[in-house]
Amino acid sequence: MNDDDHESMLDGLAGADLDGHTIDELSDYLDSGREPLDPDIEASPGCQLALDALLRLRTQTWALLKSEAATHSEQDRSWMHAVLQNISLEAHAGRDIPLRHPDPEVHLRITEGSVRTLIRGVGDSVGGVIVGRVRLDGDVTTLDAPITVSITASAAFGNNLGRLSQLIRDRVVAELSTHTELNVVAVDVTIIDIHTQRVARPEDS
Amino acid sequence: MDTDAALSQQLTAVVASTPGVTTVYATGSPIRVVLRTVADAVGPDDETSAKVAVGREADGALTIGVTIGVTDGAPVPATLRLVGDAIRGVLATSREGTPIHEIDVRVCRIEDAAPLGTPLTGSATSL
Repeated sequence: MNDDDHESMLDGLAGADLDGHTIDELSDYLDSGREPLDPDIEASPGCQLALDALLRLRTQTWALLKSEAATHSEQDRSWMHAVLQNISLEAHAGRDIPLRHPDPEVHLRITEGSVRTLIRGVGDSVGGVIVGRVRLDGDVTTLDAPITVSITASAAFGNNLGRLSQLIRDRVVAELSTHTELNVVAVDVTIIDIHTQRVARPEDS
Repeated sequence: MDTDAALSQQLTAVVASTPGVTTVYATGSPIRVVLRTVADAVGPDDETSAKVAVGREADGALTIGVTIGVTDGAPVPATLRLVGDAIRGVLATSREGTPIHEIDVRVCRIEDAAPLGTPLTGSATSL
């Protein structure tokens, strides 16, 4: 995929607000090796979350998806566009998720955006998986409220999708039990696309 | 420098040095407003070191607000409690007798842990 294709994939995200920046600006910033250093981007939690997710995407799996999108269907391109758009949306702080503290004057909270990005990272760390969207369903602002995590993903062809989904589910549950006090009652993983695992050719990149 | 501005600097340093904390952010619109006030009080040279919002209720009670990034190398709740307790400790010693209305600690980013073998200590970035 060439630069023009990359830019066109990011079209439509110009309105996304990450403390005044857009996902394509952040992608360009990564391309430049974060040089020159932009203090505004570096000081923005939302931008940092989006940069974390974009960095994780720059894997061989994403490169293969891009090469497939260049030669295959518009559907592939739309799906990849949606992934980038979701990264932008998920990086927003969202709701505050409370944690317990014995002192009633001390209020501890985690933003929904940071938890969504954590979940995306867990999913993307599973070999051959690209997470499409992460959603927390339920009243996360109330301690002990039942929460369902909904994840969509693309998986590499040849995997046992049942086992892959279970692996994602197990890792997400483990991470959320370590880093939050959410009462997770379900983790729904939906594999909505299959991609191949052929070796990327130099001309694909 | 007024006392609340000095307190903000002190708390920023304490929070940044808490194990598991990677970054202290000066973000969030309510906090940012307060920080501008603090920055005006301490001067631009000291602005980067005063990231913790220090506010006062009508009765003089303190409201503290801090936004941080943390590593996933330690459980986030444990890191948050360490931060809350550290702020409590500072207030207990440097503002003894001053009523506390609220201490608000908010994690806005959970970063991948440092490579294995890297100690979970050291100074955090203050942005």
